[in-house]
Amino acid sequence: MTRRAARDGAGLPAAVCATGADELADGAAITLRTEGRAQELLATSGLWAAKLEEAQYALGEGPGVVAYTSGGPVLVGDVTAPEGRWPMFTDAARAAGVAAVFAFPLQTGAIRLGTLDLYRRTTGWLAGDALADALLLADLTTMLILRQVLDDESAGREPADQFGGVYEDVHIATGMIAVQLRIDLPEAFARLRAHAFGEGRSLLEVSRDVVARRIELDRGAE
Amino acid sequence: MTDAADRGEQDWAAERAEFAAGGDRGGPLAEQFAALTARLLDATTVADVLEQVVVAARRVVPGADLVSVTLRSPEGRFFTPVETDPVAAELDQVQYDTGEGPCVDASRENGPGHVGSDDLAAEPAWPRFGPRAAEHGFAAVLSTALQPFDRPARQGGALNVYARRSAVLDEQARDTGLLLATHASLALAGVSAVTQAELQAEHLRRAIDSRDVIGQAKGILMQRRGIGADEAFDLLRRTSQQLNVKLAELAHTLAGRHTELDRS
Repeated sequence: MTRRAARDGAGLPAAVCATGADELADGAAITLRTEGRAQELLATSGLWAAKLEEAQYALGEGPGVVAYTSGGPVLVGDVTAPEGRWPMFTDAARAAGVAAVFAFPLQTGAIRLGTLDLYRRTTGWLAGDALADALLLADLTTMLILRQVLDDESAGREPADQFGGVYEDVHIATGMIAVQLRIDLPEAFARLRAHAFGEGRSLLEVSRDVVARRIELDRGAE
Repeated sequence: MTDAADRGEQDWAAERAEFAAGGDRGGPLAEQFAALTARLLDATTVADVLEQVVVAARRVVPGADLVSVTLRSPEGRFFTPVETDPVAAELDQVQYDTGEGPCVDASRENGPGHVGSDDLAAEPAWPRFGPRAAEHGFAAVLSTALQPFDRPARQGGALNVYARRSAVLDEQARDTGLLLATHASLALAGVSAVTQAELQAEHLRRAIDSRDVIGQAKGILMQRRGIGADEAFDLLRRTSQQLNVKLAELAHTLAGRHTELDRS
């Protein structure tokens, strides 16, 4: 577990991811989602899962996105199957060596917070017991997050202060590009994403370059 | 009264006696509680829960003529959100105004589990409320504490039963009142937890959205002024304090208007 885990209960989501990766799959991640593009990576089992979550974030598609919008689990036993629903995410998953993805909405009643995504290197379904465990893990995560928010509020802390802010450089880069190219923010984000895609690099890497002023996007080149 | 109704009344009385004696045979009273539990599980608002409880209390507490619920607002003010008869609310209000009476005593934090009297006209503990209740024709009263259900606001409350005849609110009424209050407290805790969780989820969503926009606003300022990320955030924070608007609102405005600023 992380240093943060040792400090207080904030490391519990990381512990959930570690459990998911150890017992049910090879990697796990918890992402807080909204109806819009805004989301926040709460915890992962490691870099591999973080990359895959970033791919879903950058591409705006994937099992986690659908699990959140539909409110039901999305179980993909073989992402390499040709009839894949997410052409771009499937490419990214293949490149990363993912064979199966299982995404579970974090919800209780009408409340939906995000998803717990499990990534595995081998194809196949989650066996009955593993599926039940995964659903339980998702419920546990939902309770953990709600309790954390409640504790934060009681202590007068902003909920956002507890997040890692993993995608912050993407937001900053989006703002910078909007000014550079005199375009609105959604378009700036689309340009940033297209640039990363064109260069075969991750959205986060390209964003860091923009923030560090190492690169500037060309006006109308993309 | 028909024979059938008479027999029903007798069964009912027997059931009450058995219930008081700790019997667990299913019967009218147990059925009433089962039905109440089912309705409470369906209740989705605090008002719903309380309505179900006062109606059930009026029916199952022996000797009950009026029933009401006292709650305390987060500021500590007493109020009656529900009653079976407006007279009950009036009697509650006398207690809130004078600061004496069973509603007030049972609603207090760390107060007694139940408070009652079967001679209101001569009750020494409540020299002002007692006679007023007697004037309205009530001889006995019983208030049972509701467990605090609002976290972190910690509201207290009480289930109040008024009776016209003295000595009808006996040990059995106390037991039944306690069961009802427990049911009500649990149901209220459930409803309150849902409302609380919805609020939390909304705060969380807003926080995530703000994160995006604040980051974008930082980027806009960095580019326009040629400054670093920390300076941009300081500038945002200082401006939000000077203008007395929330940081997220300022960021929203900046993010929404930046192209207009360029044109002007």
